[in-house]
Amino acid sequence: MSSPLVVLENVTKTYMLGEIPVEALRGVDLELARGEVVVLLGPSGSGKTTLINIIGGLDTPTTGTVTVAGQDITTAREDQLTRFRRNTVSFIFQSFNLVPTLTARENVELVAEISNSQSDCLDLLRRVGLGERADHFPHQLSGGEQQRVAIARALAKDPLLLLGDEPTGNLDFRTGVAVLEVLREINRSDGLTLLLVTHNEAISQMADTVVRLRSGQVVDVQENESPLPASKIRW
Amino acid sequence: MPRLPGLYLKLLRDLRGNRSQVAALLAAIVLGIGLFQNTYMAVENLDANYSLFYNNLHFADFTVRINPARDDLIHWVQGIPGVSEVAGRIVKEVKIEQPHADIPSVVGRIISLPSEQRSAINDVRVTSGRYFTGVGRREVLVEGNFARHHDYRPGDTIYVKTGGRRVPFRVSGIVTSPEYLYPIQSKEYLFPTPGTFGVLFMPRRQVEHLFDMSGMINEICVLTKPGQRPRVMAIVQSMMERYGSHEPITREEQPSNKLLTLDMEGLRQTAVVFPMFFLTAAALVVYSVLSRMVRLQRTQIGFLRASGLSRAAVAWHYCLYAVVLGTVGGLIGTIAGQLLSGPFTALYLGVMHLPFRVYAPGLGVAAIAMSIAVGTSLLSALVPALGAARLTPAEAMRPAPQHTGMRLTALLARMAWRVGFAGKLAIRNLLRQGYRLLFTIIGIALGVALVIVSVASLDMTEYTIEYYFRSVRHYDAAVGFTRPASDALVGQIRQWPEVVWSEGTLGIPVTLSHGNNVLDTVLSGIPDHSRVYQLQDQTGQVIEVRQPGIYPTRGAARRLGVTKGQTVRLDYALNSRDLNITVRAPVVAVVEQAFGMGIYAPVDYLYEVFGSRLKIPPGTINGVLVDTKPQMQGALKRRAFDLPQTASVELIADVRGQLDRQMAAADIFTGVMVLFGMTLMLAVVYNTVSMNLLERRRELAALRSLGLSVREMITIVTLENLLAAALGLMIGLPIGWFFSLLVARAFETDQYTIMLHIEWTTYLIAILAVVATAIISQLPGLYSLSRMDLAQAVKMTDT
Repeated sequence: MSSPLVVLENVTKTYMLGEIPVEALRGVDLELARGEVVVLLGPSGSGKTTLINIIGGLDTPTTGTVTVAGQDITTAREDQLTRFRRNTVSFIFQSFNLVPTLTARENVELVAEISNSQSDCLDLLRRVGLGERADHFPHQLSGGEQQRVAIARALAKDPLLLLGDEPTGNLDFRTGVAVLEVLREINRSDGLTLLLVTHNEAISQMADTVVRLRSGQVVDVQENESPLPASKIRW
Repeated sequence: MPRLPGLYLKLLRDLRGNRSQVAALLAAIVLGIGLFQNTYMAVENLDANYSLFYNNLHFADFTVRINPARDDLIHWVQGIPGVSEVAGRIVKEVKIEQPHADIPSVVGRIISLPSEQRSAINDVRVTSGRYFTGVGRREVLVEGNFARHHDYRPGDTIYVKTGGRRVPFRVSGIVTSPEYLYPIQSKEYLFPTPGTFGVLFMPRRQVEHLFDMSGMINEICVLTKPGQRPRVMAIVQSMMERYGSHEPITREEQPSNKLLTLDMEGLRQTAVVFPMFFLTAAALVVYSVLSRMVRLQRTQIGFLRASGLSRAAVAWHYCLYAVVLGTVGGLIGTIAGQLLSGPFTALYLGVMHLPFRVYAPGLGVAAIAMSIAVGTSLLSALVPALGAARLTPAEAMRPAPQHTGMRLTALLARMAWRVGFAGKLAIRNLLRQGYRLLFTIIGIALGVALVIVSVASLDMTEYTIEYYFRSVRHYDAAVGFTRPASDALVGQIRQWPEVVWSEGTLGIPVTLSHGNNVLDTVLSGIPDHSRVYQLQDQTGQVIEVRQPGIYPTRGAARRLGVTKGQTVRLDYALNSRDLNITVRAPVVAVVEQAFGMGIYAPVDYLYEVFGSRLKIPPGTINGVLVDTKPQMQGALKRRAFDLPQTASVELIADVRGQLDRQMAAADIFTGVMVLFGMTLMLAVVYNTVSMNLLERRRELAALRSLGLSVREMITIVTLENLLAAALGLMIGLPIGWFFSLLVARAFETDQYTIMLHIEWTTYLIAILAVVATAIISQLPGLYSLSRMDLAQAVKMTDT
């Protein structure tokens, strides 16, 4: 069996809310295998976003270690973290976070430039079904289309790990399912590890592994023997 | 077509998306840099053209006046190592008859020039007619300013009165002289007076014959080799002492050149001071536009950082906006300034009746202008750019925390219960976000200050001139005599039907020294209880000129480095081996006077110091100051010239007219400044107000969706802007005053003092202009808000 892509050991994160310390994560231990789809479930305030931010190198834990693709990112310097974000992980967000003044294609190209990737950006847009809409600006696209641009953009740097923070949170059911289908297809074809954060229980049906988080602690990790295709999910 | 990298595309489209702010910003940079390039290049061009003119005509490094002596003296001077050229000449004061003018004659100066060849030093340029024909008839070249004022042309006859004779001369040409670009009689005169003073150049032989000075000279002009002037001057001065030499007049102290230098100094100051204001405004706009952009693009910054863009790359991305704006604004400003500097130089040279021959190399100035433009923008962008770089990706992904406001907000809002809901909301909104209030206040304050400083420039010039004529030269005419006279003449003049009041004056040329500071000037004796001099000190207190000692003007005191209570060494300017008058004189008071470096003293003090040695008993005068009845100045002038001892009659109205003409070019410039200041105020205030509205689009849409009517929304926004304007005005008015003080100080020279004076109407104009601009600036935003799709607007994210 190959080594896990992501390993978290006793990870804690404490924020200061004014003078009051808030424990967002309390001793999280977790492993993500290469090429699997993991859904991280939990109610609001359970620490999902904090956890994904730490795995993606956007935030640092208060204690514990995080290793991604063999690299300990908890002790990494700022420049090492920048390189890590540039080469190893990609994000997609609930609010898409596209650059509004760039077209779909330019948004994808921007990330390819940052990571010095040779990806064919138009081809990536075609893969997410937006070949015809490549020269449209974000405000000319629907929510689902914007999220698909965000996925294409995330793929532009050919990452090992794709982190999605409520990727369907701003989408209606049909569009949400369509986006999940795209993600699953990419996972299969590229062998990409996918970690999706959501509070939508239904999405866990497509996962290989379901991790439940409550009050900053992992309360359950379940292997899903027969994940459903995204198209079969209902909510 | 090759595609631009994504971040550059983003930059260009962001700039396009903020068109109005970018336009305001570019306007500020273009105005500042354009003004700098234009004015600085004009000064450089003027300098180059004056230098060319001086070099072509061999303007002397120094001249020495001596008692008439044999002209072989110049061979001795020629032998001094370091001398490159020497010329001897005869310079004599005469009267020039003015048959068609309202006065019979004016003061003339005849200067000899070589008959056969051109002069090796202080030559002239013939602008019409021709140089001496040398065919034996009496001929003369008339200096251009005098010729234009009295309409002399080649072929005319001009009559010179000397030694009781009236001698006609034919005008062979009109000339320009390096010594008389400004026709100033001597350094005691502050302004050119072409109406009452003219210079005539004559062939040497003719002058010798006219004054019976065959083979003689009374002035030596010297050109030295580079770096040799001080040594040569000291040798010449000591060599000429036996000939009763006066203090040599260097090129720098030569009255016309000195005024010209002061002119250029003033322009140089303008090239720095006014652009400084404009670029300060530009810096503020860059800072506010970029700060806003960083706030609004917070999540984009988060995404870029999450995608692996380094902190330095984020900082550089936002700095690049400033670099682009600075470069574009700088380029437009530099090119426009460079293009305008040509006509501007020509305008100035046209006033001096000089041709525009050479352009100074502008690349150096352009490089400085571009560095200033880019540097200013970049500096003001650093704080927002570094702020963007400092954002951690996780923090940047979250929306910026909403400000709930200061405690003061709630307190003020409670106190404002009387103004109702709209008032409360306006106060709360205003104080809720400190940075936005701060930008608004600074923007409005800067707008007010810009209007005040530009309009105040006009106020200060006008007031300074007015003050000078009201308090210092509070008389209508000054009659100067060729030789000392008895003050009985004052009583005689007072009996004339044109005269209301007259007072005698006594002027004695002196050299004052204090430490290493030396000042050659005329000590003016003022009678006790003078009615025509109303001297004041800097605080506006009237100075009684009674106590023995000297009363220097501010400029003279500054030049000497003295203050009230100190003493200075006072030498008679014409001291020689046989006559030496030197005393220590106390400084009794410093006189606030806008022009010149005059020194006053009680006339009795002059009699006491100089009386016995110069044989001027008490009651001796060499001039009379006269107050005339209305419309009687012409008649007085004619009558005064009928006196045999009258050398000159100076009408204050003429001096004022000449000064006004001289200031006309400066007034045009100040007018342009007012226009620029107003434009920039418009840009800054519009930018500030419209940006505020843009930032609050969603918030106002939310209020509208909750039932706020358009009218209520307009009331709230207008109230907010007026409150912000009031706060901005409170800060802007003193800043405007302070900027004006800076302008006044920047333009201060030994010869001129700009008095700080701002009319209340200037403050009013600034207040009204800014308030009106603030109200008008909110209209497009309010119109758009009143028509927006509320459902869409409450959902939108700001971009």
